[in-house]
Amino acid sequence: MVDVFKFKNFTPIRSDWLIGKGEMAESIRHFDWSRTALGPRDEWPSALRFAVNAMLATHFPSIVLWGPQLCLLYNDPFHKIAADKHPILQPGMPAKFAWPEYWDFLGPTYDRVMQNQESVFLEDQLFSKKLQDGSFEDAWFTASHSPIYSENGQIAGIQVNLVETTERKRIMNRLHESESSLKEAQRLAHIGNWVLDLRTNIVKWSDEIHRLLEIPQEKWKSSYDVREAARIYTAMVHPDDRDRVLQERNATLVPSHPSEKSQHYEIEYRLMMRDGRIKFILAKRETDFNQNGDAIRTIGTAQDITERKALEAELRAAIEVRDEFMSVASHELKTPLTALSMQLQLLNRIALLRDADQKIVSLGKAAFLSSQSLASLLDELLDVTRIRVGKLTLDKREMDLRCAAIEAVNQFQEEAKEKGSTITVTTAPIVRGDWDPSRINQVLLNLISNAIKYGEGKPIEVALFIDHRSGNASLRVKDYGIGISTEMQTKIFERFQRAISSDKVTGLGLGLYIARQIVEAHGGSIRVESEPGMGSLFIVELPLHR
Amino acid sequence: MEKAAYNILIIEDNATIREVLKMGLELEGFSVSEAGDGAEALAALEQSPRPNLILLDLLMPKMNGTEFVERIKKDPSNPNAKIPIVVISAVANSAREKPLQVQEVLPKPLDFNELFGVVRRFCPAP
Repeated sequence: MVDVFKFKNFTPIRSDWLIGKGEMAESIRHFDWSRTALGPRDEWPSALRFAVNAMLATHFPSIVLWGPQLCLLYNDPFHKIAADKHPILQPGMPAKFAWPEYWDFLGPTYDRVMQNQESVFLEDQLFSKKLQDGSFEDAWFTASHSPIYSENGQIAGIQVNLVETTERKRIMNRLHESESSLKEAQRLAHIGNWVLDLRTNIVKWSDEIHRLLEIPQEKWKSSYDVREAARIYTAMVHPDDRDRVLQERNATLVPSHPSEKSQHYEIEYRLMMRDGRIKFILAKRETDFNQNGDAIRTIGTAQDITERKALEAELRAAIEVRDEFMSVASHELKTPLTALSMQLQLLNRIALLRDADQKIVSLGKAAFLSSQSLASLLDELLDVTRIRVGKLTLDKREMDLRCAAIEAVNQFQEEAKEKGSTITVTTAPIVRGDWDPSRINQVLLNLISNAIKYGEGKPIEVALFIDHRSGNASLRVKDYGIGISTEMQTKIFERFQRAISSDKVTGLGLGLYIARQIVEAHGGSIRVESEPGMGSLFIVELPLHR
Repeated sequence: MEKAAYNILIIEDNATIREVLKMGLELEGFSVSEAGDGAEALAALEQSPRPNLILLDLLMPKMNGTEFVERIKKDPSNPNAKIPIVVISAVANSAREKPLQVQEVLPKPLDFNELFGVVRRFCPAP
């Protein structure tokens, strides 16, 4: 028994050198060490005592290995995760017997410490960890092994402290998985990404960017100075697209307005490979700005859309072929139709002259009307093939919309009467402007004919005036018929759409599409206000001049 | 005795349309001569008596309507140059064709009422 300190009024703290509390401390305190290579506890050298006390005091799982046999002592935290692994993990047992399964790397580690007097760090080592329910699972630990010196300066043992790094290891694994997933995804979609830190002017290119530029793998760098990267990249851009690309690049470094936090840009251009092959690229970028409007970071993607472009070109070509065919077919159909129409007219004339049977006369008239229907359907089809972006040519001349409207209405008066509708026209005395008369006539005929078709025999109102505020001529055709649902209201101006499909209504559904093309080609607009069951109001605005 | 009927020259490449035009005009009391294209028409004009009116299709092979008009009007002293010409055209915008030195332009398919109205202007009923 060793008296540690004896002062007056000072109660000795303990008479036992072992300070720790807890299960292992108690276990060590009461264990019969004389049976082990370490000998009785009160004969332990001070270096060992200090080491053991330190081990018992730390919260890290900690081990002391002492003596040539590296006899084992451990603390509660260690006991919690490791002990009971074997039937008996006994204090004092040589380390070799404690964990022979790890000896292939632990043995040499201990040797290094003991012989070279080195401190050795084993990072992220895989061990088996005991769980609360008594089962064991894989866990990673970083273990630090430090030599313990005895009083004579010789190495007498090893202090081992463990830190569990399982979570970090798992996160690292997930990160690697996700990184490699990302790389795979980029490779699959031919889309690469890059990040430019505008404070350091360092840009990082993903693998796929390198692949896009067909840079040999040995030349890939994980980061570039932005000027070097810009140089390499711009050199690959097709000479005809370079100006545009540089312009876009420079434009994105300035916020368009002071409060803008981030700016998004998109651009398409071509890369030219060394062998002359062209790649179409869709590049997007986003720049973040700080409070002062300085650009701090840009991220971007570059996607190889060459295949898509090829498909688009194919599609466009196919559409042209189809339109060409439609045009030729329509013209071809027109010829016999012209003959038919004239023949039927003549037939009716002769029938009347010869005082033919009433049945013949009425059948003849009906046949002629059929041929007229056919002719107008064909005209619609022909118009559509002619109307493509920019292909609609107008022959503008000064005309009075009032006269055109009245003439158009007159053409339909009989048809309207048959359905029970009356058409009234309210117009300003003169509505003069520069428009294509036959095209405007088409629009008028279409709107009035629709009003009759869908008007359910109710009155139809045509109004025409000059809106002096906007400087436009305003044409309105109102019916009180079936009306158009909200979702159909935009669709009816598209090709081949009809608000209702019904056997009673004829036509190709192209009329409003054509009308819209004509009106917009004049610089005007057409829209509808309608409610199912309440009728429809079509509003056409045409600028008066030019 | 029948007074001399007006003679109308039809220049149209489509035989069916030519035929129905001829029938219609003859029914109205006109006499009709035909040609299948501009060249044929020019040749016919050299040989047969001058028609009172020409009905001219524009889109024809060998020599189209526009060229025919240019040719026939080239020499204003030639009496053929004075024959009134009415164009019958399948091309949609009839207004566009007016600049040609012709009297009238009618769209196809022809409306016979309209046609007779125009013809009567140049061949008035006695």
